[in-house]
Amino acid sequence: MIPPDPELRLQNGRERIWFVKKSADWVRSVPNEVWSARQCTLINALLANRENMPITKEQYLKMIESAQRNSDRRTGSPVMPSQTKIAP
Amino acid sequence: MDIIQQGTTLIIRNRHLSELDLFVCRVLDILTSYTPYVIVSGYVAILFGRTRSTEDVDLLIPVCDESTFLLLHDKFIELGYEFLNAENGHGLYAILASGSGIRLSEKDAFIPNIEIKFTRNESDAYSFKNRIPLIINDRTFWIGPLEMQIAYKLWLGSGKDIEDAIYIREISRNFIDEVLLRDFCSSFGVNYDPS
Repeated sequence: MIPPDPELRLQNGRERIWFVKKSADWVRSVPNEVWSARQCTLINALLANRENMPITKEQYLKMIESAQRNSDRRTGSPVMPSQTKIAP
Repeated sequence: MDIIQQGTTLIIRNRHLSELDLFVCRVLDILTSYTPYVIVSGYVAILFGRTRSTEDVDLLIPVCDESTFLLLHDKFIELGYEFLNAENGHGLYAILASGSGIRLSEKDAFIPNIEIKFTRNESDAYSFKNRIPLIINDRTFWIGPLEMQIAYKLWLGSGKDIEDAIYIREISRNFIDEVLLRDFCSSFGVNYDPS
């Protein structure tokens, strides 16, 4: 498999961040009824399709575990600023 | 977006609630009879209007004894919910106590689900102790402090996390503590302005 072009990935990341900022600008500029109605349409449409997901809950849990293992996310806990330290 | 700030409380009125929001409300109505909680991670961005969905909502609860957890467990089962992990109540408590999460959903519908974890480290403890009430149409959602949410998401570092962090920061720029956010970012070793 040919690895993705690093420059293309960077450009894609920049475009996604640009879109997130534009989206936030729009949400900030309209009344709550407007942005939330659109958000509901999107989320409800995605959830309406959940019964067609061709996996079992056991397969879903395995998929989540695998995704977490292969994720580029950090794990653990970051170093907290000294003035905010609280006993866990 | 119209957000009203009253002290630490944030209020959003006239917001439509999605099926995901209504699911979370139903779970919280039951959960709060047994334990306080704080919502963290991606669902916080969604509450503030981020245009995306999620399969799971992350909740932190303080460590409780097993008997309290079993009461909570039995109530959810009685009301038609299920825990996706294959264990019984004792096994689920053991998972929580080990620092891992358990997943709760409505029976026979594993999406969406809620991942519940005990607060297990300093950052969790901070989020719980400093949780803030977000009132949406007279319903209260306790969410992690936004400065911490933003910095923590930047620290996690995946594309989706960074986008959520930027979104929350853009939306909340009029009411977050910029000095505190800088402190968190500096301590976490992340770029305050990742764009």
